[in-house]
Amino acid sequence: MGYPKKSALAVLRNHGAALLLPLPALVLIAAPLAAMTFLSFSSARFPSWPWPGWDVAWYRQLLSNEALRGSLLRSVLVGVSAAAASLSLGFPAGYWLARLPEKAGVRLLLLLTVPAVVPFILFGLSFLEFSRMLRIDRTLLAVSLGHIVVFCPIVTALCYHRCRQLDTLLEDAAREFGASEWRILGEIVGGQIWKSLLAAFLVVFVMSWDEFIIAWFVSGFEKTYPVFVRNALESTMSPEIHAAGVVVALCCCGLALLSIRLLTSFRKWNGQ
Amino acid sequence: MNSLGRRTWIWVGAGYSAFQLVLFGAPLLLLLRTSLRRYELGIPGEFGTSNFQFILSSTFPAALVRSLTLGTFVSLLTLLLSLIAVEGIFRLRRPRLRIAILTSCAVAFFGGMIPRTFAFEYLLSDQGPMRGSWQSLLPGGSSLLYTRAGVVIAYLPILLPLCIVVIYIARAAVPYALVEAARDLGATGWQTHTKVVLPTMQPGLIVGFLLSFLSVVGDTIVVDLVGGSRIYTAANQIFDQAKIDDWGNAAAEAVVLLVCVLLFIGVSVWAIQRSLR
Repeated sequence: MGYPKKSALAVLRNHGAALLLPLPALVLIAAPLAAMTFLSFSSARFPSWPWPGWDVAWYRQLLSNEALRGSLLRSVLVGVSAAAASLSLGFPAGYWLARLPEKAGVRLLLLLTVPAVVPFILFGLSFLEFSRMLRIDRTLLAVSLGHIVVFCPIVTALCYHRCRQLDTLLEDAAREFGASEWRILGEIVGGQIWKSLLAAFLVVFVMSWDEFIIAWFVSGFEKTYPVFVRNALESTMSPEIHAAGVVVALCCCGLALLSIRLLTSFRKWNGQ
Repeated sequence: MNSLGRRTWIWVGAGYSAFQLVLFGAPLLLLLRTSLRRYELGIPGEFGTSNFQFILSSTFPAALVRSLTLGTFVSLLTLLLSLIAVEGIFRLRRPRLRIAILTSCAVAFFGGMIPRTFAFEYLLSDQGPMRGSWQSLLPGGSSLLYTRAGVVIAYLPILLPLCIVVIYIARAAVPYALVEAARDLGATGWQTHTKVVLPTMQPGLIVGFLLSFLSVVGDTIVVDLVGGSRIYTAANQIFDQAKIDDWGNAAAEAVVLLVCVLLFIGVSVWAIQRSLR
């Protein structure tokens, strides 16, 4: 059903009371993002009020800061490898769980989701010892591996839910015609849920990109972006960090928006 | 699925389970081993329970209680604000407006935690634009930075996006026929909400609470940046001990925190299953 186009004032008049309820939460969510954006354009090095004036100098400095750019690149590398590996492991596992009897599938899924919900500080500390044993401690490989362990269950859960919605008739037909299980997974199942797979990849990439504590424990001198920012905050208060925060937030929000568009359709969100 | 296909999927399942068991279970076992070992200047020594005896007589029990209390309080507040927000979003008649608000919430979740918290520090401080508001609101005329209230407020922008989405999904799953039946039987709006809508949303409420609680209990960033040295949680104590290579005590504290967290997850899963029956 189509809705007639109305002005912003008319929308406010019709939805005024309903819009007031989420307002406190929305203001709280937007406040730090807005403050970060304003501070990145501040002409003063230290945050102050009244407003000292506008400047884009921190964005210019950001482009010439090699250490920061290096950390951003390392984060991209870790994020892409963690997301790709999580997808390669999580997709077959999600499909396998979805084709088990419902009760067994749900119970196993709950059990396999534990790594994603246990506080990362506990896993980070324990994974440091484990990576030392494997002789990969203080490397980006260790960071990627740690992220795969904690973010893979998210992909598995997403794939499980999408695969449960699929009709198994197509898979059975392909099996009857002699298709191998991997071909069924790739062409029949993957072909139907590719948007969800792409969304899962993006979600893991963005989460891995922003993950601090596991990376802090196992990254050593090859610091990822959140570790670099956290360490920088201990020694300096440069608005360059706000500028980098704005750029990264824009990229992450863009990717998150894309994954939401892929994961959901208009009808699913509207609560019908 | 034929026998060959079944065998393939048995291998896939076994492989994935083994992967998680080895890469998640083995580090936890190593953590347990480290917690039972004495460390002198970062060098491992004899096995024993001295680390546990030490942490129980240190500031850790108080920090753990503070973590659990803070986690519970922040999660309840997040849940309450999310419920209010979701009720408002649900009452919007234009689906596009609902989607716009929900998408903004979901997207904000990925906005980068450290820079956002660092920026929020400015809003809570004496140097920020809210200085006048805090001074008139607070009895001492000071800012909210480095106070418990400040830490609680600083967690909300981080937890609210995820909690709102979880609660919305739970609210959308409440069958409208149930609400209509309650109204037809003469229930008021409040009665419908408390006796029909909220009990039906129970699994979603538990998940929202659990995710918020675990995020707070395991977090070191917000407490460190906004709480300063005045608020010290269990996660911060573990983090600080790891910084000075006090691995034995850090591991012992991590094991105690892990037991608390697993107990909490277990109770939550039991509560979810009970509410689904």
